[in-house]
Amino acid sequence: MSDQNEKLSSLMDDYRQTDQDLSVLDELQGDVNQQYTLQRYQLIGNVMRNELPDRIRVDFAAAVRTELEKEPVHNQSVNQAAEPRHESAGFWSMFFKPVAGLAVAATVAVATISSLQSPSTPRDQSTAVASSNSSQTRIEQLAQIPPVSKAQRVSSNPAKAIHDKGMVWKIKRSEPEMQSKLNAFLVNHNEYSNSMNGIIPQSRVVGFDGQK
Amino acid sequence: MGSTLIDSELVRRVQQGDKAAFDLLVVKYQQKVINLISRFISDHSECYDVAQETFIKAYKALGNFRGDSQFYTWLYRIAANTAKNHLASRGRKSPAYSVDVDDAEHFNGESGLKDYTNPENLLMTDEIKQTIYRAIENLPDDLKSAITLREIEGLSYEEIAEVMDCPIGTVRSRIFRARDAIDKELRPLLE
Repeated sequence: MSDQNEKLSSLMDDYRQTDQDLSVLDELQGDVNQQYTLQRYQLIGNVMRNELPDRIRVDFAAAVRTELEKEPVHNQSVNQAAEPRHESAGFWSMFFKPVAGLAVAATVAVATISSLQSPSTPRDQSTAVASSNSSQTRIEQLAQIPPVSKAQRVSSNPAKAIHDKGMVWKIKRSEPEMQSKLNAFLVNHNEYSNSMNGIIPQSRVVGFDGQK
Repeated sequence: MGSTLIDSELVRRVQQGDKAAFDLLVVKYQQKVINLISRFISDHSECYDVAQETFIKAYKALGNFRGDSQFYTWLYRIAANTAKNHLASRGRKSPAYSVDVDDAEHFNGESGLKDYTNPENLLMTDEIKQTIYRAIENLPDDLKSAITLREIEGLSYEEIAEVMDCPIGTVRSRIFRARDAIDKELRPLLE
Protein backbone atom coordinates (compact mmCIF):
# COMPACT_ATOMS: atom_id res chain seq x y z
CA MET A 1 0.00 0.00 0.00
CA SER A 2 2.85 2.33 0.88
CA ASP A 3 4.46 1.70 -2.50
CA GLN A 4 1.15 2.36 -4.24
CA ASN A 5 0.72 5.60 -2.32
CA GLU A 6 4.22 6.66 -3.28
CA LYS A 7 3.39 6.05 -6.94
CA LEU A 8 0.16 7.97 -6.45
CA SER A 9 2.07 10.81 -4.84
CA SER A 10 4.53 11.09 -7.71
CA LEU A 11 1.83 10.75 -10.36
CA MET A 12 0.02 13.65 -8.70
CA ASP A 13 3.15 15.66 -9.32
CA ASP A 14 3.31 14.53 -12.95
CA TYR A 15 6.39 12.45 -12.34
CA ARG A 16 6.71 8.76 -13.16
CA GLN A 17 9.62 6.42 -13.39
CA THR A 18 8.10 3.88 -15.73
CA ASP A 19 5.03 3.50 -17.88
CA GLN A 20 3.83 0.95 -15.34
CA ASP A 21 3.31 3.76 -12.86
CA LEU A 22 0.16 4.65 -14.78
CA SER A 23 -1.25 1.29 -13.71
CA VAL A 24 -1.81 2.85 -10.31
CA LEU A 25 -4.76 4.64 -11.91
CA ASP A 26 -6.46 1.29 -12.56
CA GLU A 27 -6.21 0.38 -8.90
CA LEU A 28 -7.18 3.90 -7.89
CA GLN A 29 -10.41 3.74 -9.87
CA GLY A 30 -11.45 0.56 -8.14
CA ASP A 31 -10.30 1.45 -4.65
CA VAL A 32 -12.34 4.00 -2.70
CA ASN A 33 -9.73 4.13 0.09
CA GLN A 34 -7.05 5.15 -2.38
CA GLN A 35 -9.37 7.79 -3.80
CA TYR A 36 -9.73 9.26 -0.32
CA THR A 37 -5.95 9.17 -0.02
CA LEU A 38 -5.67 11.12 -3.28
CA GLN A 39 -8.28 13.54 -1.99
CA ARG A 40 -6.30 14.15 1.20
CA TYR A 41 -3.04 14.57 -0.72
CA GLN A 42 -4.79 17.15 -2.86
CA LEU A 43 -6.18 18.81 0.24
CA ILE A 44 -2.70 19.18 1.72
CA GLY A 45 -1.55 21.02 -1.39
CA ASN A 46 -4.69 23.17 -1.44
CA VAL A 47 -4.12 24.23 2.16
CA MET A 48 -0.43 24.96 1.61
CA ARG A 49 -1.29 27.16 -1.39
CA ASN A 50 -4.20 28.71 0.48
CA GLU A 51 -6.67 27.43 -2.12
CA LEU A 52 -9.24 26.07 0.30
CA PRO A 53 -12.71 27.60 0.59
CA ASP A 54 -14.13 28.51 4.00
CA ARG A 55 -15.93 25.24 4.31
CA ILE A 56 -15.43 21.94 2.61
CA ARG A 57 -17.74 19.09 1.97
CA VAL A 58 -15.93 15.79 2.18
CA ASP A 59 -18.55 13.84 0.24
CA PHE A 60 -18.76 16.30 -2.62
CA ALA A 61 -17.09 13.91 -5.07
CA ALA A 62 -19.50 11.16 -4.06
CA ALA A 63 -22.44 13.51 -4.64
CA VAL A 64 -21.17 14.36 -8.11
CA ARG A 65 -20.66 10.68 -8.82
CA THR A 66 -24.28 9.97 -7.88
CA GLU A 67 -25.48 12.70 -10.22
CA LEU A 68 -23.28 11.46 -13.02
CA GLU A 69 -24.86 8.02 -12.84
CA LYS A 70 -27.82 9.56 -14.67
CA GLU A 71 -25.61 10.66 -17.51
CA PRO A 72 -24.86 8.43 -20.49
CA VAL A 73 -21.40 6.99 -20.76
CA HIS A 74 -19.04 8.46 -23.33
CA ASN A 75 -18.43 5.60 -25.65
CA GLN A 76 -15.94 4.96 -28.38
CA SER A 77 -18.64 5.16 -31.02
CA VAL A 78 -18.90 8.89 -30.32
CA ASN A 79 -15.21 9.33 -30.69
CA GLN A 80 -14.98 6.89 -33.53
CA ALA A 81 -17.68 8.82 -35.33
CA ALA A 82 -15.33 11.73 -35.47
CA GLU A 83 -12.13 9.84 -35.97
CA PRO A 84 -12.99 8.04 -39.21
CA ARG A 85 -13.28 11.42 -40.87
CA HIS A 86 -9.73 12.07 -39.82
CA GLU A 87 -8.69 8.59 -40.83
CA SER A 88 -10.57 8.88 -44.10
CA ALA A 89 -9.09 12.25 -44.83
CA GLY A 90 -5.73 10.89 -43.82
CA PHE A 91 -6.13 7.95 -46.16
CA TRP A 92 -7.11 10.05 -49.13
CA SER A 93 -4.49 12.64 -48.49
CA MET A 94 -2.00 9.84 -47.98
CA PHE A 95 -3.10 8.28 -51.28
CA PHE A 96 -3.58 11.39 -53.40
CA LYS A 97 -0.56 13.36 -52.34
CA PRO A 98 1.98 10.87 -53.72
CA VAL A 99 -0.09 10.22 -56.88
CA ALA A 100 -0.54 13.92 -57.54
CA GLY A 101 3.14 14.47 -56.86
CA LEU A 102 4.02 11.64 -59.21
CA ALA A 103 1.76 13.03 -61.92
CA VAL A 104 3.33 16.47 -61.63
CA ALA A 105 6.80 14.95 -61.62
CA ALA A 106 6.00 12.86 -64.70
CA THR A 107 4.59 15.87 -66.54
CA VAL A 108 7.63 17.94 -65.73
CA ALA A 109 9.92 15.10 -66.75
CA VAL A 110 8.20 14.65 -70.14
CA ALA A 111 8.24 18.38 -70.77
CA THR A 112 11.88 18.56 -69.79
CA ILE A 113 12.89 15.62 -72.00
CA SER A 114 10.96 17.05 -74.95
CA SER A 115 12.51 20.47 -74.57
CA LEU A 116 15.99 19.07 -74.13
CA GLN A 117 15.75 17.21 -77.44
CA SER A 118 17.59 19.79 -79.53
CA PRO A 119 16.77 20.03 -83.26
CA SER A 120 20.49 20.00 -83.94
CA THR A 121 20.85 16.48 -82.51
CA PRO A 122 19.07 14.17 -84.88
CA ARG A 123 18.10 10.64 -83.86
CA ASP A 124 19.87 9.25 -86.95
CA GLN A 125 22.76 11.44 -87.98
CA SER A 126 23.49 9.65 -91.28
CA THR A 127 19.88 9.86 -92.42
CA ALA A 128 19.71 13.51 -91.56
CA VAL A 129 22.93 14.35 -93.40
CA ALA A 130 21.90 12.45 -96.49
CA SER A 131 18.50 14.05 -96.46
CA SER A 132 19.94 17.51 -96.05
CA ASN A 133 22.40 16.99 -98.94
CA SER A 134 19.75 15.75 -101.33
CA SER A 135 17.30 18.47 -100.51
CA GLN A 136 19.75 21.35 -100.44
CA THR A 137 18.96 22.42 -104.01
CA ARG A 138 15.22 22.41 -103.36
CA ILE A 139 15.64 24.56 -100.31
CA GLU A 140 17.59 27.00 -102.43
CA GLN A 141 14.74 27.02 -104.90
CA LEU A 142 12.35 27.71 -102.09
CA ALA A 143 14.45 30.61 -100.96
CA GLN A 144 14.23 32.17 -104.44
CA ILE A 145 10.46 32.29 -104.37
CA PRO A 146 9.26 35.75 -103.41
CA PRO A 147 7.48 35.62 -100.04
CA VAL A 148 3.80 36.24 -99.81
CA SER A 149 3.30 39.60 -98.30
CA LYS A 150 0.22 38.58 -96.36
CA ALA A 151 -0.63 35.11 -95.26
CA GLN A 152 -3.90 33.82 -96.53
CA ARG A 153 -6.07 31.14 -95.11
CA VAL A 154 -6.46 28.19 -97.39
CA SER A 155 -10.19 28.11 -96.88
CA SER A 156 -10.49 31.72 -98.01
CA ASN A 157 -9.31 30.89 -101.61
CA PRO A 158 -11.04 27.71 -102.84
CA ALA A 159 -9.47 27.96 -106.30
CA LYS A 160 -6.01 27.24 -104.95
CA ALA A 161 -7.07 24.84 -102.25
CA ILE A 162 -5.97 21.27 -102.13
CA HIS A 163 -9.10 19.22 -102.40
CA ASP A 164 -9.33 16.27 -100.16
CA LYS A 165 -11.21 13.37 -101.68
CA GLY A 166 -10.79 10.57 -99.31
CA MET A 167 -7.13 9.78 -98.99
CA VAL A 168 -6.17 11.15 -102.40
CA TRP A 169 -4.52 14.52 -102.66
CA LYS A 170 -4.84 16.21 -105.95
CA ILE A 171 -2.34 18.93 -106.74
CA LYS A 172 -2.97 21.37 -109.52
CA ARG A 173 0.00 20.51 -111.68
CA SER A 174 -0.85 23.28 -114.01
CA GLU A 175 0.58 25.70 -111.49
CA PRO A 176 4.33 24.95 -111.35
CA GLU A 177 4.98 27.77 -108.96
CA MET A 178 2.58 26.26 -106.44
CA GLN A 179 4.03 22.78 -106.94
CA SER A 180 7.56 23.99 -106.51
CA LYS A 181 6.60 25.86 -103.38
CA LEU A 182 4.82 22.87 -101.87
CA ASN A 183 7.67 20.54 -102.69
CA ALA A 184 10.10 22.86 -101.03
CA PHE A 185 7.87 22.95 -97.94
CA LEU A 186 7.63 19.18 -97.86
CA VAL A 187 11.37 18.70 -98.21
CA ASN A 188 11.99 21.18 -95.49
CA HIS A 189 9.49 19.49 -93.22
CA ASN A 190 10.91 16.08 -93.96
CA GLU A 191 14.39 17.18 -93.05
CA TYR A 192 13.21 18.88 -89.89
CA SER A 193 11.14 15.91 -88.74
CA ASN A 194 14.10 13.57 -89.27
CA SER A 195 16.09 15.64 -86.87
CA MET A 196 13.36 15.54 -84.16
CA ASN A 197 12.84 12.45 -82.07
CA GLY A 198 9.26 11.39 -81.68
CA ILE A 199 7.84 13.42 -84.58
CA ILE A 200 6.31 11.52 -87.43
CA PRO A 201 7.61 12.75 -90.78
CA GLN A 202 4.29 13.53 -92.43
CA SER A 203 6.06 14.77 -95.56
CA ARG A 204 7.11 11.24 -96.54
CA VAL A 205 3.52 10.17 -96.90
CA VAL A 206 2.47 13.35 -98.62
CA GLY A 207 5.56 13.49 -100.75
CA PHE A 208 5.05 9.92 -101.91
CA ASP A 209 1.51 10.69 -102.85
CA GLY A 210 2.58 13.83 -104.61
CA GLN A 211 5.15 12.00 -106.73
CA LYS A 212 2.49 9.72 -108.07
CA MET B 1 0.13 23.32 -10.81
CA GLY B 2 -2.08 20.86 -12.64
CA SER B 3 -0.42 17.65 -13.66
CA THR B 4 -0.96 17.11 -17.35
CA LEU B 5 0.12 13.48 -17.50
CA ILE B 6 -2.48 12.09 -15.17
CA ASP B 7 -5.14 14.46 -16.52
CA SER B 8 -4.58 13.42 -20.12
CA GLU B 9 -4.76 9.77 -19.18
CA LEU B 10 -7.94 10.25 -17.16
CA VAL B 11 -9.59 12.34 -19.90
CA ARG B 12 -8.72 9.67 -22.44
CA ARG B 13 -10.27 7.02 -20.26
CA VAL B 14 -13.47 9.01 -19.74
CA GLN B 15 -13.77 9.60 -23.47
CA GLN B 16 -13.46 5.87 -24.01
CA GLY B 17 -16.35 5.16 -21.69
CA ASP B 18 -14.65 4.83 -18.31
CA LYS B 19 -16.94 6.97 -16.19
CA ALA B 20 -15.09 6.11 -12.98
CA ALA B 21 -12.03 7.93 -14.30
CA PHE B 22 -14.00 11.16 -14.09
CA ASP B 23 -14.40 10.61 -10.34
CA LEU B 24 -10.66 11.06 -9.99
CA LEU B 25 -10.77 14.33 -11.87
CA VAL B 26 -13.51 15.48 -9.50
CA VAL B 27 -11.45 14.38 -6.51
CA LYS B 28 -8.43 16.14 -7.86
CA TYR B 29 -9.97 19.48 -8.81
CA GLN B 30 -12.97 19.86 -6.52
CA GLN B 31 -11.34 22.22 -4.04
CA LYS B 32 -9.84 24.44 -6.71
CA VAL B 33 -13.13 24.64 -8.57
CA ILE B 34 -15.07 25.39 -5.38
CA ASN B 35 -12.50 27.97 -4.41
CA LEU B 36 -12.79 29.63 -7.82
CA ILE B 37 -16.58 29.67 -7.69
CA SER B 38 -16.51 31.08 -4.16
CA ARG B 39 -14.96 34.21 -5.63
CA PHE B 40 -18.15 34.75 -7.61
CA ILE B 41 -20.66 33.37 -5.15
CA SER B 42 -20.37 34.02 -1.44
CA ASP B 43 -23.02 31.60 -0.24
CA HIS B 44 -21.24 28.30 0.32
CA SER B 45 -24.27 26.08 -0.39
CA GLU B 46 -24.84 27.79 -3.71
CA CYS B 47 -21.17 27.52 -4.34
CA TYR B 48 -21.33 23.72 -4.06
CA ASP B 49 -24.41 23.61 -6.26
CA VAL B 50 -22.59 25.50 -8.96
CA ALA B 51 -19.50 23.37 -8.52
CA GLN B 52 -21.55 20.24 -9.02
CA GLU B 53 -23.16 21.75 -12.07
CA THR B 54 -19.71 22.63 -13.37
CA PHE B 55 -18.48 19.05 -13.14
CA ILE B 56 -21.62 17.66 -14.76
CA LYS B 57 -21.31 20.14 -17.61
CA ALA B 58 -17.67 19.24 -17.95
CA TYR B 59 -18.49 15.55 -18.08
CA LYS B 60 -21.10 16.11 -20.78
CA ALA B 61 -18.72 18.22 -22.83
CA LEU B 62 -15.69 16.02 -22.35
CA GLY B 63 -16.46 14.02 -25.49
CA ASN B 64 -15.64 17.12 -27.50
CA PHE B 65 -12.55 18.03 -25.52
CA ARG B 66 -9.59 17.62 -27.88
CA GLY B 67 -6.82 18.65 -25.54
CA ASP B 68 -6.09 21.95 -27.26
CA SER B 69 -5.74 23.43 -23.79
CA GLN B 70 -4.92 21.88 -20.44
CA PHE B 71 -7.84 20.07 -18.86
CA TYR B 72 -7.78 22.22 -15.73
CA THR B 73 -7.86 25.52 -17.66
CA TRP B 74 -10.77 24.16 -19.67
CA LEU B 75 -12.49 23.10 -16.45
CA TYR B 76 -11.88 26.45 -14.76
CA ARG B 77 -13.37 28.23 -17.75
CA ILE B 78 -16.51 26.13 -17.41
CA ALA B 79 -16.59 26.87 -13.68
CA ALA B 80 -16.26 30.62 -14.17
CA ASN B 81 -18.93 30.69 -16.89
CA THR B 82 -21.28 28.54 -14.83
CA ALA B 83 -20.85 30.84 -11.84
CA LYS B 84 -21.50 33.93 -13.96
CA ASN B 85 -24.55 32.34 -15.55
CA HIS B 86 -25.76 31.37 -12.12
CA LEU B 87 -25.47 34.93 -10.91
CA ALA B 88 -27.20 36.21 -14.03
CA SER B 89 -30.03 33.74 -13.67
CA ARG B 90 -30.40 34.57 -9.98
CA GLY B 91 -30.90 38.18 -10.92
CA ARG B 92 -34.11 37.10 -12.56
CA LYS B 93 -35.20 34.87 -9.70
CA SER B 94 -36.67 35.47 -6.28
CA PRO B 95 -34.14 35.80 -3.45
CA ALA B 96 -35.65 32.75 -1.79
CA TYR B 97 -34.25 30.65 -4.64
CA SER B 98 -37.57 28.95 -5.02
CA VAL B 99 -38.33 26.91 -8.07
CA ASP B 100 -41.63 27.58 -9.77
CA VAL B 101 -43.14 26.05 -12.86
CA ASP B 102 -41.22 28.34 -15.19
CA ASP B 103 -37.94 27.50 -13.53
CA ALA B 104 -38.48 23.75 -13.41
CA GLU B 105 -37.34 23.25 -16.97
CA HIS B 106 -34.28 25.34 -16.34
CA PHE B 107 -33.35 23.31 -13.30
CA ASN B 108 -33.91 20.02 -15.08
CA GLY B 109 -31.22 21.06 -17.52
CA GLU B 110 -28.89 21.59 -14.62
CA SER B 111 -29.25 18.06 -13.37
CA GLY B 112 -31.00 18.22 -10.04
CA LEU B 113 -29.04 20.29 -7.56
CA LYS B 114 -28.50 18.89 -4.09
CA ASP B 115 -28.88 20.65 -0.79
CA TYR B 116 -25.54 21.23 0.89
CA THR B 117 -26.83 23.26 3.80
CA ASN B 118 -26.73 20.36 6.23
CA PRO B 119 -24.00 21.36 8.74
CA GLU B 120 -23.08 17.74 9.37
CA ASN B 121 -21.71 17.53 5.84
CA LEU B 122 -19.63 20.65 6.14
CA LEU B 123 -16.29 21.00 7.82
CA MET B 124 -14.77 24.24 8.89
CA THR B 125 -11.52 24.51 7.08
CA ASP B 126 -9.79 26.31 9.93
CA GLU B 127 -9.39 23.08 11.81
CA ILE B 128 -8.10 21.31 8.74
CA LYS B 129 -5.65 24.10 8.05
CA GLN B 130 -4.33 24.13 11.62
CA THR B 131 -3.88 20.38 11.57
CA ILE B 132 -1.95 20.49 8.33
CA TYR B 133 0.23 23.44 9.35
CA ARG B 134 1.03 21.75 12.64
CA ALA B 135 1.95 18.51 10.87
CA ILE B 136 4.24 20.40 8.47
CA GLU B 137 6.00 22.11 11.37
CA ASN B 138 6.74 18.73 12.88
CA LEU B 139 8.32 17.37 9.72
CA PRO B 140 12.08 16.89 9.47
CA ASP B 141 13.72 19.74 7.57
CA ASP B 142 14.49 17.73 4.43
CA LEU B 143 10.87 16.57 4.12
CA LYS B 144 9.54 20.05 4.91
CA SER B 145 11.75 21.63 2.25
CA ALA B 146 10.81 19.04 -0.35
CA ILE B 147 7.03 19.37 0.16
CA THR B 148 7.27 23.17 0.32
CA LEU B 149 9.29 23.41 -2.88
CA ARG B 150 6.78 21.17 -4.58
CA GLU B 151 3.43 22.46 -3.32
CA ILE B 152 4.13 26.15 -2.82
CA GLU B 153 6.92 26.90 -5.28
CA GLY B 154 5.61 24.45 -7.84
CA LEU B 155 9.03 23.07 -8.76
CA SER B 156 9.37 19.83 -10.66
CA TYR B 157 11.16 16.83 -9.16
CA GLU B 158 14.19 17.58 -11.33
CA GLU B 159 14.34 21.17 -10.11
CA ILE B 160 13.93 20.12 -6.48
CA ALA B 161 16.72 17.58 -6.90
CA GLU B 162 18.96 20.35 -8.15
CA VAL B 163 18.01 22.72 -5.35
CA MET B 164 18.40 20.11 -2.63
CA ASP B 165 21.42 18.52 -4.30
CA CYS B 166 20.08 14.99 -4.14
CA PRO B 167 18.85 12.33 -6.59
CA ILE B 168 15.35 12.55 -8.03
CA GLY B 169 14.43 9.27 -6.34
CA THR B 170 15.22 10.87 -2.99
CA VAL B 171 13.01 13.84 -3.85
CA ARG B 172 10.20 11.49 -4.76
CA SER B 173 10.61 9.62 -1.51
CA ARG B 174 10.83 12.76 0.62
CA ILE B 175 7.71 14.28 -0.87
CA PHE B 176 5.79 11.09 -0.36
CA ARG B 177 6.98 10.71 3.24
CA ALA B 178 5.99 14.30 3.95
CA ARG B 179 2.50 13.75 2.54
CA ASP B 180 2.15 10.47 4.35
CA ALA B 181 3.12 12.05 7.68
CA ILE B 182 0.65 14.94 7.22
CA ASP B 183 -2.02 12.52 6.06
CA LYS B 184 -1.72 10.52 9.26
CA GLU B 185 -2.75 13.64 11.18
CA LEU B 186 -5.41 14.67 8.69
CA ARG B 187 -7.15 11.34 8.22
CA PRO B 188 -8.91 11.14 11.62
CA LEU B 189 -10.35 14.58 11.02
CA LEU B 190 -12.02 13.62 7.74
CA GLU B 191 -13.25 10.14 8.60
